[in-house]
Amino acid sequence: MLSKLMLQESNLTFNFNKMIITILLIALGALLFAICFKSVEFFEKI
Amino acid sequence: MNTEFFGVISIFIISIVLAIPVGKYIAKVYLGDKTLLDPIFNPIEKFIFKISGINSTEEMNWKQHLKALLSVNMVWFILCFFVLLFQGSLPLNPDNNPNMSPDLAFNTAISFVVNCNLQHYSGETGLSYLGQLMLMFLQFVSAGTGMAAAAMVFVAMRERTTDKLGNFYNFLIKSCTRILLPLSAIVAVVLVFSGTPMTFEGKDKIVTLQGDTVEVSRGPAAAFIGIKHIGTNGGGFFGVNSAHPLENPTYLTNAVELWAQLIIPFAMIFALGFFLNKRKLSWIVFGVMTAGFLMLVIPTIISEINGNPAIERMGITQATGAMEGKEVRFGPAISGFWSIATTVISTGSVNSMHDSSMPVSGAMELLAMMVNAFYGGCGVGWLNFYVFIILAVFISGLMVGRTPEFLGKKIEAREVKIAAFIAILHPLLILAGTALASYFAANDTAMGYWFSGNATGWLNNPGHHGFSEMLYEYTSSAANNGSGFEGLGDNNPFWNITTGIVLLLSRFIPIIGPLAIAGLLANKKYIPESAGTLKTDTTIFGVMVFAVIAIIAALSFFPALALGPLAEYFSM
Repeated sequence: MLSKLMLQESNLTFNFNKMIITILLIALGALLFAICFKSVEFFEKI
Repeated sequence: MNTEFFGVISIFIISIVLAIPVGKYIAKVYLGDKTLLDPIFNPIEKFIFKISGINSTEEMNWKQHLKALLSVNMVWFILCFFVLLFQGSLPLNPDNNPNMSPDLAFNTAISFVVNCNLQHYSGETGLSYLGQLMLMFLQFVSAGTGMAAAAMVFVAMRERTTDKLGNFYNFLIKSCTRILLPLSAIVAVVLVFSGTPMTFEGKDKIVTLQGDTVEVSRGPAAAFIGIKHIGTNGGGFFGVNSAHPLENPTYLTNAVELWAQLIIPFAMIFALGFFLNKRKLSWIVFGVMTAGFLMLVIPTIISEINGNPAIERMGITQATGAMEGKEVRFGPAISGFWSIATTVISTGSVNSMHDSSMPVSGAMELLAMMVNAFYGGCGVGWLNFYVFIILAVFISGLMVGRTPEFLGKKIEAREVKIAAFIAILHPLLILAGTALASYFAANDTAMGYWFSGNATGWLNNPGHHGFSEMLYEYTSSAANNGSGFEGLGDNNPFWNITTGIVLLLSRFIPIIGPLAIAGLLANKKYIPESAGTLKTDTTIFGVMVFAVIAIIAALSFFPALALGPLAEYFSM
């Protein structure tokens, strides 16, 4: 029973970590695209 | 060996000859002339534009072009990221392939959006058919994006003084439906008739001659491989790419796949000449690119057919050349030619393993991606070359005391600053990434989340070759090429995320730069040619552009090449 509970907990932790990493990677992708959008303005004013 | 040389030379010449009519056709498409495919695609396009609320006849300036380009690519990135993340639970997964990890999905989505197709997974076990179809869609639109950007530069170069430079969505759709789709269909048909699978059924079981039962992966491969080469994408359907017998079954398919990756980059240069009605300029550009290509391909073929001296010292004959990592049915000459074609042109598909190339070949493959302007990828090859033209016009103008002008437009500080920024960004991204990875490997750092174990664990080879593996990975990412020195253990958060960053920045900023230059120049007053104008369609100017490219590449990359493949060559 205990090992079953521990397994469930480890799965939950794993999924939670995975979710956080997914969100961070989406944020990173958005940041990279934001840099590209900003560089359009940068090249106009350079 | 003579047969092999005949194969190489004939494929190269046939590709050049066919590129001229294809270039004429491409120019016709971008000029808005009627084509045979209009009756089929016009109604579909109108429907797509109507439901998307896009007015495809609205003229855009360069900033609107770029904002449309970036927005649509961002949507594709997010869509692809989620499909790969949940592919295990989505339809079209008969082999029950699992979801991708977040970092691998991040890398793969960016990689296919940016036309690189760096693959840190094996297609047979890493992707469902829905995932493969999603990536196939990206292979069309990413190539179309590069071509649409080049088309805007064509318009900017042709017009005298304007900020109206066509419509991005119109160029994108026309590139996909009028150019990429029909050419890919031709290649796919040849592949299907040569034995490449085209099915949605799962793995097949076959009994070998030894009597063993093995499972053979299949899927909608032929369609995927067609656009993989026509769009200079390079992502393989199967893990070993075009070295796989179902991905590249015969010498004929090998020739067709080579032709397919050469045709659009060649044709785009001729399209420029037809579009501007300046054919001499396009021949000068093509001549410079071809000179650069030959300087890379000839040493490669020679080093591959001469064989490996280290293996020869072990008493193993090298009469058939250096055959480690190569397919017996293709041989060293055509494999060497392919390795340079695929790195010069940013396809990145392989029919032999580059990690096993001779050191000189490895140096040439790296140099091809470091220059990234000899032919180059669909549309973007021309954009990269355009940056070097601007720098060459400026430098040669200063040298001979003439006004730096290109096609009747004065090159001023702003354009030169942008060109210099773009020229420096490429080596910066490659060398910074390599320096970071080398630092961790040199110190054998424990990487925690980023890599299971210490950093040297991602290297398959010590010393110079190990350094080359890391340099190659970042060079391939920055050049949006996608080939790899596959000895590197790259499917882990460190490589997936760092190369993902390099991939995205090195795709879009080098598109934004030339489009900004072209847009700014198009807005300027047209100055008619006079005796004081520096002529840009002469052989002398071509030599000047070549010199600028060679000097920038040598200054930026020679130290890194000396530490990797050149040191390996001298230590053999």
